[in-house]
Amino acid sequence: MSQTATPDIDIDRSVGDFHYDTSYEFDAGVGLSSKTVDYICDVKGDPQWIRDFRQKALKIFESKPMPTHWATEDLENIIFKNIRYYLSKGQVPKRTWEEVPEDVKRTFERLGIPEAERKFLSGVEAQFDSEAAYSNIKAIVAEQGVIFVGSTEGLHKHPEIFKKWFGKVIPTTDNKFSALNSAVFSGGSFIYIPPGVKVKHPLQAYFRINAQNFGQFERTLIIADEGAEVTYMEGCTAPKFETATLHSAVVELVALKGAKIQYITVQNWSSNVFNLVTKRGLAMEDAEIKWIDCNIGSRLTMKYPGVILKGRKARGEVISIAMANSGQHQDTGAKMYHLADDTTSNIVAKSIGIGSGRSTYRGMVHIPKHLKGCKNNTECDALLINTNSRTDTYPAIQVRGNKNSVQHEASVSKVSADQIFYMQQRGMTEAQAMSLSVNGFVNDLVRQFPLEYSVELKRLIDMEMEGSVG
Amino acid sequence: MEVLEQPITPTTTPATPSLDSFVPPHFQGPSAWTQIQKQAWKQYQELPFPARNDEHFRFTNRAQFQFENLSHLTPVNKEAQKQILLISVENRLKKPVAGRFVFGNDQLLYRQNLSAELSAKGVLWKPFSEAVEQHPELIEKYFMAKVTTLGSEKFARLHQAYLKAGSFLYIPKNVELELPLEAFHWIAEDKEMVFPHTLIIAEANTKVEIIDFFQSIHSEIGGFSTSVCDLHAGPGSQVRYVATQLWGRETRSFQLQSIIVDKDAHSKTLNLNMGGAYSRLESKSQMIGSGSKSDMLSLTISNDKQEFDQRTFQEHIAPNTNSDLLFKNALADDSRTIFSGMIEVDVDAQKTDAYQSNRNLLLSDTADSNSMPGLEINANDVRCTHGSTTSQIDDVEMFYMRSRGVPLPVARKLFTLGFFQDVLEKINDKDLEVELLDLIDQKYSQTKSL
Repeated sequence: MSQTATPDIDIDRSVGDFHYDTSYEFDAGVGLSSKTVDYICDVKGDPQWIRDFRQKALKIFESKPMPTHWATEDLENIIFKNIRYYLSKGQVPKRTWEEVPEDVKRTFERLGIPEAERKFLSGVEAQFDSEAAYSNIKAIVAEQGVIFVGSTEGLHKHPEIFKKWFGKVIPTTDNKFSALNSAVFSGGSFIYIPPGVKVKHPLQAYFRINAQNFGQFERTLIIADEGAEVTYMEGCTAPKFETATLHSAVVELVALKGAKIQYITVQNWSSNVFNLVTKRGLAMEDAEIKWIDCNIGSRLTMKYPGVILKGRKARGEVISIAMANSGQHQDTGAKMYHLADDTTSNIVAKSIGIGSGRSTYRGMVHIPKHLKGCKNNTECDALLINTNSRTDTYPAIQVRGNKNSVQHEASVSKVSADQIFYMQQRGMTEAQAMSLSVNGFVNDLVRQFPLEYSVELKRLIDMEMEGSVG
Repeated sequence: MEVLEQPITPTTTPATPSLDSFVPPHFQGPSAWTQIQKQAWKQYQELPFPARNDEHFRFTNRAQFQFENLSHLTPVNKEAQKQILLISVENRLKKPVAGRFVFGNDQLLYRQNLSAELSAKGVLWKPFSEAVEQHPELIEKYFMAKVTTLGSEKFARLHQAYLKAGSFLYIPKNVELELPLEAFHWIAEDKEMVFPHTLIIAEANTKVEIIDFFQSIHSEIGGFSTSVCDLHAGPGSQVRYVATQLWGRETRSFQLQSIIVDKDAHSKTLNLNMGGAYSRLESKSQMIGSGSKSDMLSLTISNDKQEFDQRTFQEHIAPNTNSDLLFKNALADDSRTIFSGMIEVDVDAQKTDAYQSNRNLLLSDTADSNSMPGLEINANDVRCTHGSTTSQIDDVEMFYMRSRGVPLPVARKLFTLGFFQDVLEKINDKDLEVELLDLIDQKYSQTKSL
């Protein structure tokens, strides 16, 4: 590989880059005030405690400064008063595909949602701007007592479970964007898996931003009762508008004794979406929470999935892949809070910088006093393709206590020139060789994804690599 | 050899209620220097105290920075002088050095000048206050030319404003010093503040080793130290700098190091940290010339409630540069260590090879180790890695030692020394290694819990 600067590449994002004009029945207008929050409460028929919760969150949001003392200054470019906080076509998600309005259906059909459902999913929910447009769960799964509905429906129909855990894993005060989400949240999934139920196939949600200047604030709460197991997948797309769009979700997972939750995200927002997401799981005794997080799209992603290891022998894992192309900043990472003896956590993060893209890993591993036998392993590797790609690593590791062991390794490198040369002399083009190398770099992580996703990921990587060398 | 019977007339200042209300005594010097100090004092006053959310002070217990009733330039009494000279000079007669300074409470107590041969070659080894008068052009060019930016800028300015004691070393082109140079900085009074400075200017193709000792006359006394080491390694030079920090148990210190490495030069620094209540080390290496290399080593043994706050920065500015950092900490009792390191590779610094490693050995259940190894890479053709580990001694290994009849404390000590061994070996100097091991032994003999 020569050291000469390689041309920036333009990626084909055509899969999600389309939108239809849609008329909305409910629109909270532009800007955010306590009136906006009231409007959302009225439309959704929220109970009083949620209304109070939202209003309080709004005050917290307003009082918190932007975290630019450690985060990128790009955050200053979010103009909160220009954003629309609530848009929907109706309140009740449709149960059959035929009921879904034609324009929304067209959108999701282009994304292949009903096909995906027919193929292998146990249930699917599709969110169009603020509200779920379509929600369905296979009868056999429903019979086991699994609840899979939108957050609003969960709040109305299952208040006894919802209220117990809502906002408990991620308090409103956690950060500025979790407060914003708490004030205006709408949509997202509510899932409850009864004790001992193992959901065979993944549950899935699609998030779609269709309107310009719109902020999507979904709120997901997943509770796996004792011994239950579930896999949840989410995908996100948005068309590319002239102005920036904000996506700020809060996702809370609760894995009770012996439960397992696997949460998979493939994020492919268009390259002008600010994706500022707070995700955290609470793992009780012997429980396991695994985040598989793949970030390809967006302008700026700030996302640090975390696990609070609260019960003895709980286990947390974050597997993360990030690709930052020109104009993108993938600021991702993981947090592991060990709060009980013999808890273990594992973080593997790989990032690829292409063109002038910037990828950042930020991590936090916390093992307080008086804990025994906690273990953490962190690996983060970065691969830089072009001369102007950039990568940063900022881990923070805090360890006390007895028989605890923590290790962290990070490396940054470029694709080996020898390898590329070898592949080229075997008849591959430089681009093919590069693509193969990059796929090899992330391969051990990609294999952990469900098959459909790993095929999709490989294709996306090939696409991103197109024209990145030469 | 020249022993100063009387210390240079000190200008004593009365105890003051707090640092801020105290105007530093600008010592008599050329007016240009006085101006620098006045300017620094002004900047010190203007700069804010590190804020709670300052990333550079993350994990730091800021409540420790309460400096009250401090004194400066208190005369060192006869008895203390005798004790200081016994340790820093008489007991060390066996070790040949090229030159040596001993400072007590920032006042020169003893000096061994360079041999006539070295002086004839143009090597300059002077107390800082003399250098300010005699070599203003060198001071102007090199003195704190690139101030550290790892959080303690306020304290760097404070140092500048109060600076009086320190070593000044200038080595002209192609001169190699066979013997090391030594400087001792003593705190001889409780609540005394000192501002030791070390300015090393090594011109092209030179070779030198310099060792700083920071000590207190009793292990129990407190005080406050802000020291700066300003190291300039010219093209093709080889510079080794060792700082041993054995302040008294109540002392708080800021130790700032700036290492600038030019083309094909090789700098090696080692910090041995054992004393003090709160000790902050900020060490920044800048590789400004192609082929330059900086090795940054550190050993820390902490016990009781000691806090060691270490911030490092490896900045690769030129291409084809190399840096290798290894910081090892052994923590006992309720002690804490904070390691925050950064490797920054500039856009043009292709072919950088950088490594950064922080290893922590927890010797108790309540010790607290924090590690933040960081990378910021702006070039693609690089090899940069960092690693951090924190763990305790393996039970099985301990059991084996005990089954062989080795008592627990001895076994623990052997493991700790084994843990340190690779750092000691990296300095590649048997005599120095023995000397440092002796110092470590001293800490062991004074502390039961280790």
